[in-house]
Amino acid sequence: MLVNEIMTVSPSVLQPDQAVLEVHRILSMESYHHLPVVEAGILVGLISDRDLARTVSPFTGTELEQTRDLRQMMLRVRDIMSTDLVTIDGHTTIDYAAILLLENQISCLPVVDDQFRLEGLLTWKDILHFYVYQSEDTSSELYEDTLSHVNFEI
Amino acid sequence: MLYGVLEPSSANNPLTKHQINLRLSEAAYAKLFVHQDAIDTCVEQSSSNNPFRILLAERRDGAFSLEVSGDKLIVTAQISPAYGGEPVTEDEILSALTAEGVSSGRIDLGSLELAANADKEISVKLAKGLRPVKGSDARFVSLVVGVTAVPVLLDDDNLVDYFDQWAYTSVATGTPLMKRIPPTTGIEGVNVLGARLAAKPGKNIKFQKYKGASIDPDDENVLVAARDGHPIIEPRGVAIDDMLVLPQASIDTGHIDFDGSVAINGDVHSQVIIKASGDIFVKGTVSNARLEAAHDLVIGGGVLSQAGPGMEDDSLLITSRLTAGNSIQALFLNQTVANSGNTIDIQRYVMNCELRARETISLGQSGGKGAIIGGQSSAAFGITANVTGSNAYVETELCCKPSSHVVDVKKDLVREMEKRHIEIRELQAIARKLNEAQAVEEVVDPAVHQKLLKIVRTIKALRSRAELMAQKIQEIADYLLKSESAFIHIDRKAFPNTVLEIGSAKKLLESERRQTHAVCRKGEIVIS
Repeated sequence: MLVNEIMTVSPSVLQPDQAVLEVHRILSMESYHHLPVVEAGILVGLISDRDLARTVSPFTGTELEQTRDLRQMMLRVRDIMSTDLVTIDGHTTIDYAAILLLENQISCLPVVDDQFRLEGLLTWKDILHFYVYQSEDTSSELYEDTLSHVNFEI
Repeated sequence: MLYGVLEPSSANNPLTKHQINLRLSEAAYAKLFVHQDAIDTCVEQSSSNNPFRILLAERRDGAFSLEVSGDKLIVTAQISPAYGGEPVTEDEILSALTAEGVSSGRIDLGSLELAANADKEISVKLAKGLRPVKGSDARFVSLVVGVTAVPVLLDDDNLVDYFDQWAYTSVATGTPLMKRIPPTTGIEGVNVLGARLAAKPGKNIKFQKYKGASIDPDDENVLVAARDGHPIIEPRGVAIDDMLVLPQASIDTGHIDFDGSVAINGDVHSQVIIKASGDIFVKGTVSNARLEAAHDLVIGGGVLSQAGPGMEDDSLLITSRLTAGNSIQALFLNQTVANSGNTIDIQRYVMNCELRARETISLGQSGGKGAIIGGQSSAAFGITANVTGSNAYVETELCCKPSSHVVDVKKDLVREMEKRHIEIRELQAIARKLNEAQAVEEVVDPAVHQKLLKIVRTIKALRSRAELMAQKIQEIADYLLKSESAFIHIDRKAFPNTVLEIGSAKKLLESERRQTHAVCRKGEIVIS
């Protein structure tokens, strides 16, 4: 099985110019842990709830809120997003993606095409779901049938 | 005995029947057996006023007689009730039944009681035997259907396709086809004397042998498919045809979508769509229809359309369309679109058609006029025809080059393969790191060991994918190399307005030519 069969297609995305305040609102309202940052369709970064936690003061929105906390909220997505991205393409194997996640100690992998256009998002939850509910014995897979996405008809 | 005595009277009043019966009942003689004919005689004699004496009634005991039917299945008792005398008792009847040899188990005690208490002449069935029940003959239950009716559904435009009404079954080897229910022995009977009556067993009918089916080695009462094909269900068996054979394809057959090969012994009528995972054979003609065979498509007659390529109607098939994974053969094609995985071979002519073959297109090479008139014909390796174009100088395009799609597929595959190699290198780097870390430790960490095993297996899987891609890339490369030697050969006559395109070169024939052999050399069409 390939990554594009289990990834989240069309994930919610952010623009680089969006305010951190807005990201804070989105992440606190929705159950997202990661949001890819896309500019003109191209993946330029990734923001996780941990990135945001490092930026946003825990006193924001409380009585103890200070001016510098508000200033932090006026930052833009591009100021705090991760740009050192580990990405994969949709036609790679789930095992490979899982090893990448574990060995890089990350929790999601943006799935991109050759032009770095975002195709989807693969999270550890997607992989866990696959191994628990869909996988019989992936270790013995030879992936001979996984070339089906390429049309060899000439 | 009760006698009636008539004495003459001066009144001379004749007696009536009612008066006599009334007197009898008033005198408590009604329980006696009254001779009705004697009363009639009394009435008659009373009018003559002569003295007269007659037996009017008498006391009688109850009586009965038994009759055993010829087949000894029923014992019937004729019961006469008691008239003022002793009634028949159950014991008396029972004794009589026993004396006749009637089995006690067959006696109906309810009827016995009814007989003993009868107050009038009755006939009672006192004992009944059981008729034997004949066994059922062996019977056969089909486990498959040859054709299934498809529910008629409205499409997105609220239209019903009445051609889409049947699904033709195909079965795989080993599929259970028919079950034989063995004959039964029947149910034994018993007569009133208690003797057993044997039942006639059902007929032991066996499966009839048909091609393509055999008895299941694990169950002699199950017939299984001995090969893949279409089941033809018979009363005592199932035949498996390796192909679906129909006399014609029309509104009666509807569209045909069959997992196997299809043979149409007649014509394929307008609007029919036939799809087969094997071959399609048509003996007759195809008109405004669509045929798709995963392997070969062989049409004994020709193919006709109402309109040519690019003039399709959304709701009607007015252009015949042929698709074959391997080859297409036909007598002629008229205004048809044909796509073949390898070759197209037409005997007589191809008129205003759009042909695409992965390898070659040949006309008239196995006999026939072999003319291509109008339209576009494209094949990567070569096109051979006897005649191209016509006296009317209709533009006839012949093109020999691989489709750009093939080149794109190759590029995609190369890119994909490179990605997999990058992934392999990344995994190798991870494995190296783990190994190095492990080397420092004195004890082998089982978790790291498992990680390494998984990484090695993943690398193997990625390599396997990359190798498959390399094979496909090589296949395409060979194909592209062969297409560089593409040619167009016109054996007899090429009319003006025949356009020759080979690789990147193109040439319009402006004058009539006889035998023409064209190839591409250094980006130019070279004709010899």
